[in-house]
Amino acid sequence: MKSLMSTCFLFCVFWGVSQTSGGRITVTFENWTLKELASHIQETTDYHFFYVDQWLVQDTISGSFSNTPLENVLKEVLGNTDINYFLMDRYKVILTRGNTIYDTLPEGFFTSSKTDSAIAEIPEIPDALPIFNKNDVAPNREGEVPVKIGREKRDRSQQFATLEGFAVNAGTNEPISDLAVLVQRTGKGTTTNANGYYSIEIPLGSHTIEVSALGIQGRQQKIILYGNGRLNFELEESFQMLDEVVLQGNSDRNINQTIGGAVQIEMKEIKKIPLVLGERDIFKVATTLPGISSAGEGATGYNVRGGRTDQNLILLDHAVIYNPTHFFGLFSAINPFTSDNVEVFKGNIPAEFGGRLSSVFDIRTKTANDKKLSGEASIGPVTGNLALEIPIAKDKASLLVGGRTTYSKWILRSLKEEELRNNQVSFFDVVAKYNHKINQSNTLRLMGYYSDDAFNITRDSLYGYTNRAVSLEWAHKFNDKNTGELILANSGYDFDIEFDVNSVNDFKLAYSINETLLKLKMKYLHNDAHNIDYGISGKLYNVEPGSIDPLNSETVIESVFIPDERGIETAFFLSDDIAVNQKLSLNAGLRYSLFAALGESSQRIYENGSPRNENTLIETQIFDENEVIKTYGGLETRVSARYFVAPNTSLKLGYNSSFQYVHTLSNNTTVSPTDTWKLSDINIKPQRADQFALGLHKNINENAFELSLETYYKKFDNILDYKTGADLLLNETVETEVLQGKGKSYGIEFLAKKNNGKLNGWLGYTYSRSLIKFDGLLEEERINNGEFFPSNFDKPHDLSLVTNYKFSKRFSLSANFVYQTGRPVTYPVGNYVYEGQEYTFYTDRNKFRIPDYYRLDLSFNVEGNHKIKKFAHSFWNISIYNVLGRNNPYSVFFVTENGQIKAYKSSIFAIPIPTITYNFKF
Amino acid sequence: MRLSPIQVLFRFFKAILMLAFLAGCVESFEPGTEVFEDALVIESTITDEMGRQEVVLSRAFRFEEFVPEPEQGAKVMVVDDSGNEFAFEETTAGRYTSNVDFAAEQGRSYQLLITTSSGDEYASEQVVAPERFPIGEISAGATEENGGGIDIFVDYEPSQAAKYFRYKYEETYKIIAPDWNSQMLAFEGPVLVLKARILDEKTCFNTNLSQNININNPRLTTSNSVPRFSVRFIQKDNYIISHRYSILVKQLVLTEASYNYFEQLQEANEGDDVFSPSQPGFFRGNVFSVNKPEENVLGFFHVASISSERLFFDYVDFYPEEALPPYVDKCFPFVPPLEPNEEEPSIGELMDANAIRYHSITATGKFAVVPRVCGDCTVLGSTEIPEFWEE
Repeated sequence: MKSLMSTCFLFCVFWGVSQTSGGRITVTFENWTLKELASHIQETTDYHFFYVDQWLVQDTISGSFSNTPLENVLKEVLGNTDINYFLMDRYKVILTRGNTIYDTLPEGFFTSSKTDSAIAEIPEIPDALPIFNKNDVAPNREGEVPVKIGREKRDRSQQFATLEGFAVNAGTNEPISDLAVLVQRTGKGTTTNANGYYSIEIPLGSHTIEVSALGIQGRQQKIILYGNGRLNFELEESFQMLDEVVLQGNSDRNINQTIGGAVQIEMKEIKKIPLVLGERDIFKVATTLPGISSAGEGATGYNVRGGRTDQNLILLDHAVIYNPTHFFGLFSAINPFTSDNVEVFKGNIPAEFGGRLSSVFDIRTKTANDKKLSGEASIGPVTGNLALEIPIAKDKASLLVGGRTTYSKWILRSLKEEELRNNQVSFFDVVAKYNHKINQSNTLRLMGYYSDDAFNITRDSLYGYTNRAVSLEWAHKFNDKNTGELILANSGYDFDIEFDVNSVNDFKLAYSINETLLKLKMKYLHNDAHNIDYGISGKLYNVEPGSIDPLNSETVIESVFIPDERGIETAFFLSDDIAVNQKLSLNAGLRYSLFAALGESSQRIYENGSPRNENTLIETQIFDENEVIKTYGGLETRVSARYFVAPNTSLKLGYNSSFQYVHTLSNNTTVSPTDTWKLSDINIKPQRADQFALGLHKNINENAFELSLETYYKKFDNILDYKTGADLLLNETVETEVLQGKGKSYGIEFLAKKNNGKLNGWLGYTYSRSLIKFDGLLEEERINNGEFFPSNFDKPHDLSLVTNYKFSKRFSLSANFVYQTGRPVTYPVGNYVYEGQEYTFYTDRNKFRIPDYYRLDLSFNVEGNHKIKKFAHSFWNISIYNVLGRNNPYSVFFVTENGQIKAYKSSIFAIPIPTITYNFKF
Repeated sequence: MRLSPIQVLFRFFKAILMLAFLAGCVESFEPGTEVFEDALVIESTITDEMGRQEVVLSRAFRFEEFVPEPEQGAKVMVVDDSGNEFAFEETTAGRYTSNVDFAAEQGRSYQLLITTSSGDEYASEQVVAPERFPIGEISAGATEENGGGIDIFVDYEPSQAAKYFRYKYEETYKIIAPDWNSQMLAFEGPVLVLKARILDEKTCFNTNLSQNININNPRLTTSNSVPRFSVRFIQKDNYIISHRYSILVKQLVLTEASYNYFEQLQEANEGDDVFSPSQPGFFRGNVFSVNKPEENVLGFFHVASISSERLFFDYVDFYPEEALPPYVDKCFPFVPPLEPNEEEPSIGELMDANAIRYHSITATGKFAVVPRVCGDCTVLGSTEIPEFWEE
């Protein structure tokens, strides 16, 4: 067996040397790793190197060569290492570790094969036929026993066969993409695509197939290839073996990915962050990354690179989640147990996404294990959470279900105060995902999500909101080059307020928004250099802006019904990820979006250039059902480029533009639970943003450290604000209260990440500004005299440090430190007396800041023992939120009490909050 | 469409939520005005009641200060749309009264013009005097809500639905000193004696003016009536209704803009909640600077139609069987020492301070006294019977 391989090898070497005698190397280097040298040679010559990264970074070497043949260079530098090299196919250099090079064949090897040897027409390929399987030596280790593939044919002219297959993660059963598949000693190799599929043409005969990827436990598999055939891999994640926390499945992705400003949040990271009230929260982790922040704890919504909170597209398996929080923002409504990794795009947004200006949070639900029943559960002080992975049909279908609910009812009931005991605060969320692999080319995924919050404060008033999402995805593989996904998704958000005290004032108020998305996304892998995505999407919005209905027959409550709004947003998108050369790659994307506001509706037309009010109303235009009221649209450009300035160091440049056709109506400094969404219409124009970004990304010490420095400049048009004291809820003439203005934000973001080792974590620092400007024609349409002023979430300095220290396999300690400049507030500039009462008055908006925010959280994880045969794996988490007990003011406000002005500052968690959570997995 | 009841409700229950979970996280602090901005404050409501009309001008002040400074020496004038000018003159500091009696006429528009002593000119928008709606019937009713008490209601005609009203009141009530005695203590030389009381300090009357902004935008019910509106609620245990109580309810018909202004003032008073602080900002009245359009001017020039109605009732009308509400003092008689000592003042010192009234003579022959308010109603009011008073 070995000898046969050696034969191949000798042929290769011979061939290689003879062909490359012209290629000579001139290089001087000092303290380089072999990898750097290989990269350098690869960049400066036509040689291509194949190797596994880990092998080449241990030692550094120095040397100088001038016009030296490559082979000599390799001999020289590899002399003291355990790396062997092979030259083949003219310019391919394969580096392997530890393989012995045989220069003689074992005796008698050819005696049995002589009769059918050497096929002359293909001289550069060693004759592989017939194949003699000398399966006498190999111990029965996995991969050592050769697998026979294909049928041996009598027709000897065929020297090659196609080997194809899938690679899946044995734990999650998800396809492994970007897995390197190398055929040892042939120089042939490929990688798996997004579906885990690979295909490679290799000579018939015995081979060792080596697969590797970071985060995946590599394997070597011996095969004997007789003809076209299939070899699937089921691989373990390598961290289970190494017991290391892997931050990124593909750790040099940050430098390789063409688009900038993209971050991936792995669910494992979430485990490391200290918890508030025992809840793991994807969004809390996101806010520790540069460029993503929230107005404060307990504030719904996130501000990404100076964008408003309504500018984030939060997707759960393609379906939009409008309000992904529970309890006014204290908890996330996305179940951490059922979520897979989250991808956040804060810079360049891929062309397939649109409709929101600032970011995309692409959250995917896990695909359940289809082999065995497994689950995860946790019990914390506020909620209980359970997720189950249920196999339906082995290797075919599986179901994931997860649910969380609070038992705060019990907490409230145990309170002493009568008034509070009658309160009810409850929330829950459930998610289910069914995954069905119909065959190798077709997969169906069906996801359903529901979250509900209900607050019953007095016995007679009820407030509640719900999120719903359903998505169906059909992934189809047309052929190796073309794949497609057809997505149908529907999501809704609504809230209700009911007030029933048996009086003439009783009422019920309801708001709802619903959207349906149909999207076709196609992928065409033209070749190694072009990876094209294209598609079309259509989204239908239905908004019921609200109705108020009396609950009694005798009532003073006027039934109010604001007519429904309807709009359709369509988009075509096309993007090409172009590998120009080894160093340069481009991602050129275009999206054309078109929004049409549809009837039935009556639209008010106001005089041009005057403030909108009853006096400037010219006419009211009536539109029939589905009649187009107004269309808006435009080309959105999504371009980015990546250039390797040095091995492991890339420079990224991007330009991104987008439109947004739905807006929140909110007169609060932060998000309020009664905020409603409104579609663009004749009077309210879509918002637009343009972002320019430049980033430098560097991985050092073999991806052990990731560094990135990104800067951006963003400008906004037609962002919304409202006149002071505007009533936005159930306002039929909302346009008279709206101001549309400009915004700009810029910043520099630094992130340093250490991915493994006993001590790991990350440090993020952002300096950024977010400014807005409302300069209308009239005084009442101007804010701060029409000058730029800081937005409510302008926090120039933002520092996050997340560290995790593992004492042993069972004990680990995490700490999280956050520092932020206090957010701007409008501070009163004086008092005045009106009719005997004292009032404060405010002028310039956001001129002052609340004190700086800082907080330290600690958490301690104790894992159950690691006995393999145990039924369940468990861990305890003990967290202390705000260890320093810092009274971080969240807002300041002024109240007139008995004719006296009183200033108050409020904070959400002013004292250290300890929590203990028990989790187990089976 | 405005929804203030809903918003009020909503704020209310968010505030409770906040309390439920975050008790103790709201604390008061002392703000110092970091940048003070001066502004003129205009208070004026011209009514359709013939008489001297009034404009009050003051200035905004710093947090650390307590009293606004009056704006003195300004030229103030109201002009109507037919060119009539009504000049005002400063009667007391910052308070300007029209030189002649005049009344706003329904449908006519009025403008306020001010030139301050520093030469800055201000002008209000043209305000059209609103329609007249005489005040409906005033009634009082006992309720068990809010701990029990009496509501003063105003009734409406269906035609008054959707109009804008503001209510002010003047309440006058009879006070009877519970421990009034026909005799009083007096010194005759060094000797303390009892004499017939000189002043009648037994029955008094006091009048309070409404403090809060009280506005209503009544609505028609489905049965085509307009629910009455409570303009005043007096708790059952408030001593002011112990005997006889009278209230003069003034109803001002406002313009929509005036109503909105008062609503904003009210909201400013309500404060905020932790979860969603509303965006504060300058809210504009209807008076602007002529020279500097960007200058912020506070206050409002209202033109309103006024009408009033008076109501009387006795405590026993509603609570015939029940004890009177507690008096402002518990009125425990006590015996002060005749000579001063370290622990308590002597009777003489207390008399000098006008702090006591005679109550009785104890069994041991000492003078028992009560705090002055228990035997002298003039602490709380005046003995003069108001002109309008009816028994």
